[in-house]
Amino acid sequence: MPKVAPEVEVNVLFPQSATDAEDDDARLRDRLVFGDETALADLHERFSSLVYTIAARVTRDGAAAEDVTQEVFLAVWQHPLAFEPAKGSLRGWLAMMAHRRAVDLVRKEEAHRRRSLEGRLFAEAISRGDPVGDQVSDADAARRLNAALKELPERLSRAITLAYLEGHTYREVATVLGVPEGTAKSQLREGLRRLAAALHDARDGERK
Amino acid sequence: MISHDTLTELIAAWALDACPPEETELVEAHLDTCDTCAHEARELREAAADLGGAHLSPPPGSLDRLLTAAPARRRPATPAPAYATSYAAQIAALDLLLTDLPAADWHRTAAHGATAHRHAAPTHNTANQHHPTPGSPGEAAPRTPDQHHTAPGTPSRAAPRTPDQHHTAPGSPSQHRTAPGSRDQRAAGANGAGDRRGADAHDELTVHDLLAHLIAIDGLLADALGLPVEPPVEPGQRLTARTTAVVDFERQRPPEQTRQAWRAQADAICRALHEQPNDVTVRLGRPFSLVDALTARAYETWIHTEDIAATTGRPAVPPLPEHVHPMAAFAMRVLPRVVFRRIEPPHNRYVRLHLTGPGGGTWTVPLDPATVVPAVTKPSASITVDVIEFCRLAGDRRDPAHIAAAIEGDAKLARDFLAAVPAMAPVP
Repeated sequence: MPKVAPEVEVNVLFPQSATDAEDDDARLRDRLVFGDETALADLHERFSSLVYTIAARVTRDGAAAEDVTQEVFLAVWQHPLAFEPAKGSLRGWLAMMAHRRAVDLVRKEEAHRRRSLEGRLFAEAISRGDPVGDQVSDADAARRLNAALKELPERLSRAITLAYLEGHTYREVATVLGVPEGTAKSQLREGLRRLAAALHDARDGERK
Repeated sequence: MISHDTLTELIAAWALDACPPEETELVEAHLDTCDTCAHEARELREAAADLGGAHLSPPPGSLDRLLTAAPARRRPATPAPAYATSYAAQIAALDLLLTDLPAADWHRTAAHGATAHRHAAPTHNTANQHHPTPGSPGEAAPRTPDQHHTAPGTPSRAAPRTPDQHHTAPGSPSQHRTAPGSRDQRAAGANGAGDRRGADAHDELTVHDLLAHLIAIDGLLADALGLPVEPPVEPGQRLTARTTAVVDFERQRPPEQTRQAWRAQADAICRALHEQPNDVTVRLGRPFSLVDALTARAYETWIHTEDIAATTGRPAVPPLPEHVHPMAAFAMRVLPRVVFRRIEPPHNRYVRLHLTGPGGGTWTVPLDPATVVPAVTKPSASITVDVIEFCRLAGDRRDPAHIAAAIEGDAKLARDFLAAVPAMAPVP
């Protein structure tokens, strides 16, 4: 082997200094692609609370929420390239996965309940297994936990709560609220846009 | 046809997972094509992620349960000594790419090797006439490396897939080069389904064959480590003959079995390294230190991963910075031998390479392999190029005439140097 002078070797290790959030997300995703189990542990450390919380709010069942949490992280481990950093943050993507799985669970349970109990127990606590605790035992309490949501006018926060925390489609939201579907859609849009704006303000505030 | 306004109204509902399935699909299809809506969708998604409110903690043991369950879902990279983590990582990534690969994709053309028939030169005549010999340098006749002096392994050239991907400069040796890792790879993969036009059937290496090629060369490493290898390595066997033997062997069994055999051998290599003294010499065409051999195998595994990703339209990511760096350093050590016979004298000159991007670095490469680079050197030319792109060039997966490089100093020397770089491919 000929000798080649190893001069200055820059950027040898991780680009820890130059990182915006998207690079961080991409780096974590790539470590998963290369089969790095410590990346999975890092992912869990960063996001398990977010994922579990969303699952718990929606299912209102601690054991079910933990099942959802496990499934979300296992799915990322199995298919890390399903996450595309250009399309949004890892946080937003994991929240979506958690929410979709939790909603699927609730919808299945509900269908099952309707079939087997003819709706008689429908009004009873949905909670099964380990309850998550008083804080999420009903939708009102869950709603109180989100200050930004509380700031919204009742008609908007009610629509969003029905959709996101109770897992209804916008059509079901319209039925529950007794409004046209178009109105339900625009309430969800207005409400969520206001929340996004509040989030922006809060983040800008943190930066200052 | 659903209108843009109708879709826009659905984005918030979509972000809340409150659309019926058929509308969810419509919205997601729209987001792929409309930047304005994609931007709004991203903002609203981020807002929705906060709707859970104050964070709760998952029950104790959540992480342990996850780490216990994960390997059954997907095998992690096999633990290996530091110098082999790049290899273990490329193996894990290729295994991910090959997981659940549809049967038809296994038979896609992934690379072009040369047949023994075409390359009847004495160095190549050991191969079976009727089978591809991906260990040989393929169609790059103008840059055919002397196999005694180049790096081992010899990845064959990437396969052409769609006519519009060809650089069509007449007579250019690069006209069959695809662009692995290119942005439009997904679309190109879709268009390239079953495209086998314009190639001699004997030249084509399917995804299955390419994996067999990797097994063949990894097998030389396994053999050097004293591991059992099937089919057995014959003493003095050339790389081309070895590949042909293994391709023939693997064609007798289903691709999934080939995948398992490939992974099992790679894992066995990683495990064996924990007990090996570092001074083992591995013959991959020529003798290599164990450390260089592992880097070479990581390098070739990556290059072929991109070949397979390109032809199957599946995504792949370039190596992590800490994994690509040793590959670039390895290329720098091999290059003097390669450029020596391709660049006109005087050879007492140096070319400095600034490889940019994470994992890059700066190297000064002599044109004469016998030279020891002095501590203070004034290079005749400097070339600045992205480290990943440079490694693809050295893997003969980029056209030196078209690579984005900034040149200072002797421009002719720099261009001759770049033109010579792909001759180290077949890279390891």
